[in-house]
Amino acid sequence: MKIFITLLMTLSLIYAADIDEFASEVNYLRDYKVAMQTAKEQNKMVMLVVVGDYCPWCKKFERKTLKSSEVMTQVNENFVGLVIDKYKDKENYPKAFFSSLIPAVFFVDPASEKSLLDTVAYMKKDEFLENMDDALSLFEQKGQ
Amino acid sequence: MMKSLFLTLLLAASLFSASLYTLDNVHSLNLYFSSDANFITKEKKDELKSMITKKLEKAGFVFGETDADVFVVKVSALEVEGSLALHLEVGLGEEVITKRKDKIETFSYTYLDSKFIEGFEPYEDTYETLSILVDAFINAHKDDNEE
Repeated sequence: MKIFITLLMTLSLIYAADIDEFASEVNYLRDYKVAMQTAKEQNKMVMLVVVGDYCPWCKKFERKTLKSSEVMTQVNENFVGLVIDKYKDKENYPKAFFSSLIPAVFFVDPASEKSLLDTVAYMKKDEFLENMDDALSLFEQKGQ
Repeated sequence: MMKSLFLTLLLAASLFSASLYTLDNVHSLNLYFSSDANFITKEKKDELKSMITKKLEKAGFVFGETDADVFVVKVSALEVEGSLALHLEVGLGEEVITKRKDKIETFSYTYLDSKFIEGFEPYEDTYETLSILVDAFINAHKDDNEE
């Protein structure tokens, strides 16, 4: 039992390192409150990405879509990127974003903390870029 | 009517062509074919291998290079109460560096797909199903490698 718990703790540390490593590579935040505050200050939306360490489609979405230079540029210029683990960060983000399907992305207006647009499942780069444009349009319309 | 049906089919095909594996830069292959089914004679085995190789070559894969990834095809047959159950599997095997302590290297499947069918006409069903599985691999590879 002791060995099992140690193994589980080691594994969760490894996975935690994975999501932190990804966040650092793509310049996303890991803290919901900090992301909302930053977005308010910069008048940007929060792009909240919900993933899971057990989810191969999430890993592929990170590798192929979120790490692509076009998506990274778009996020860094127009959004505050935030990545959270669906279960491990459960206590640290609102239940409204607890998606049954992952990977899920919520484009959140920091003033209301409501999602203006969300996407679920693996999406290729071009399709995801279109969604980002749609989210930006909605955010601009809201600001007018 | 036909146009919308065609577009729906096209959309469905593009949506389901992606696989959860990442097949970027897979180019050279070696074919490994394994079967425990009695109905697959040496001639039939050669015919299946030829069909698979031709499909993959047509899709741009190259065979015969050193240190190529291994395209694994496995056919397993089991007779259950007079019926023949067939398990057909295709996979891509290669040496990978894991995230384990000391970055251990190991042989690993980096693509795997299989179908479990009842073989009414065992050889024909095997041929057709393997053809579908190879096409799925080719589509997934194409999907991952297009810009």
